Amino acid sequence: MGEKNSERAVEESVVSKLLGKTKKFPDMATVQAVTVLYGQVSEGLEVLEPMDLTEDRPAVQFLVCKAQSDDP
Amino acid sequence: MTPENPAFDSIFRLAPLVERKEISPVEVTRLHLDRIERLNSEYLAYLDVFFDEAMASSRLAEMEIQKGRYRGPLHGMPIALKDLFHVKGTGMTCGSKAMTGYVSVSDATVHTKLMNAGSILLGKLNMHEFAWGGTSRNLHCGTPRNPWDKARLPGGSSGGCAVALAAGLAMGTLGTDTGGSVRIPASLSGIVGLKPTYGRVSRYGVYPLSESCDHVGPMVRNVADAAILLQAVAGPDDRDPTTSSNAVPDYMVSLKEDVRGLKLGIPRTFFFEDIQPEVHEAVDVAISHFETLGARVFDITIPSIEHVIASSTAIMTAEAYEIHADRLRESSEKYGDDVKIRLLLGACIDAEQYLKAQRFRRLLLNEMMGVFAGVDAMLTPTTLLTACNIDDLAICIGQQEYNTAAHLARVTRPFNMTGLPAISVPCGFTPNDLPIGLQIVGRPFDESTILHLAYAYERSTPWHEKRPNVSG
Repeated sequence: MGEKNSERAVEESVVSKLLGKTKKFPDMATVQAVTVLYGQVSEGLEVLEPMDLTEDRPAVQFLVCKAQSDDP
Repeated sequence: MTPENPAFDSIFRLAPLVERKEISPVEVTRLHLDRIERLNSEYLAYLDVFFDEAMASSRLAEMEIQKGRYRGPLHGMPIALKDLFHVKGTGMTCGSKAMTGYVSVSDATVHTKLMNAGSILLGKLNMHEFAWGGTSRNLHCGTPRNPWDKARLPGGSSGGCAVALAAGLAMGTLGTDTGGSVRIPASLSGIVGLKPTYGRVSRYGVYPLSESCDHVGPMVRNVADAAILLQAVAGPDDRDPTTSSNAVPDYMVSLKEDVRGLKLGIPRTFFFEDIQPEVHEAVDVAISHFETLGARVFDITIPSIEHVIASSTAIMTAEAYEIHADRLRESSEKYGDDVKIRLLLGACIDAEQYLKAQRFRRLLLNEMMGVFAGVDAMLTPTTLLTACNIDDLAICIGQQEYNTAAHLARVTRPFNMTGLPAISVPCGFTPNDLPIGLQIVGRPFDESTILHLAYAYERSTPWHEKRPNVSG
């Protein structure tokens, strides 16, 4: 039951995020597919919480290798 | 060794013959164009072929060489580009109906470099729509066929590149790799694919997918040709601020057969899990082969690797959505369903999630750099599975079912997240003749070491000499 509620919450979240971003709202099959993927990604990112990601805060950067090589 | 069919020859072997005027660029180009004319409807490698322009360029190359103005190993060599590189005055589809009628108004830097090197552009190659998938299934342009078994996928997104090479329809190609799109098709189609370090090759004039993960890389039939193509396109570019000012070494110098003393790390966790048994076996044999060549092999661990999929999905989808947002709002019906779903996922990723994933990325790189303190390169499978049937949306490994597209990119994506250079070389075949790929990963900007290892492996194994049964 709890799982179903949680799935519904993810779907509602996806629907609300998409509503403002699409002129023509996608069909339900598309919404459901996005919901499944979004659920996996957010769950995957949630488990990062306990990891120490703050140590390297200034290093939120795209050019990971370039920076490493170019910087003095 | 001279191949039986000249369409499968290498740039490395042909270049001196062209320089000595023993082979004419016109003949080589005509041979390829004839094959394309005959075989492309069967393999769907090319979306556009520049018959007249290619012949005119080959005649010009021949004239220059006759006059003693030889430019180097790519002079007179017929190559092709994935159809997301801008070539001024020509159409560019990115494999999508959404780009119908688009004509490029400038040249990609890498195209300019290849033209300056004297190569002949044969045409533009098929791909997964907007490069957003590892299969090259394409509803709009037709799915390119794997020459090893036409019922199977060539891998993607640079599927047309791999097919053109495996079928002898080009001597070299450039693809792009955002989550494995050079290496996956290389693995599934039995060719060589090199994703250089982030910043090594300009992306100016290349249609983006995910700005922080996109790489341009050579796809060829052997390692020496990868070195030649990389040499031609590597280096800084004022028009791409992400390119590095690091000096470009002479990659041909790295083509050595002696790997004694080199230290190789094997990350068993994650990279060897959920893998087809025949792939596992072939990669293990390849690892043992390096030991017999004198390299030293160590098991290594990358502690946080299991989080890479969620993080890279968040980054890639968010960045891809930003690129497609306007078009998606106006005409989402022009996208294939699989691409549309992934793009809309990007619309749902918020800033908190995106930045958390970016922070994880740094942590992951730190862990990998820790590994490289003790080894010179890492070895992994390129893909955990071989080419599957075009209609197989899911595949079974053991008792477990996996989404084909997602599983294909599982062990290539970590190196788009960290920007490290990685090359895929053929390392065996299944009993039903499907190619298997070995991935060799190096330190930032150390393409030389992975080319060295790949070359030594290739020279001492027969896999790169095997050809699919392609008529013509």
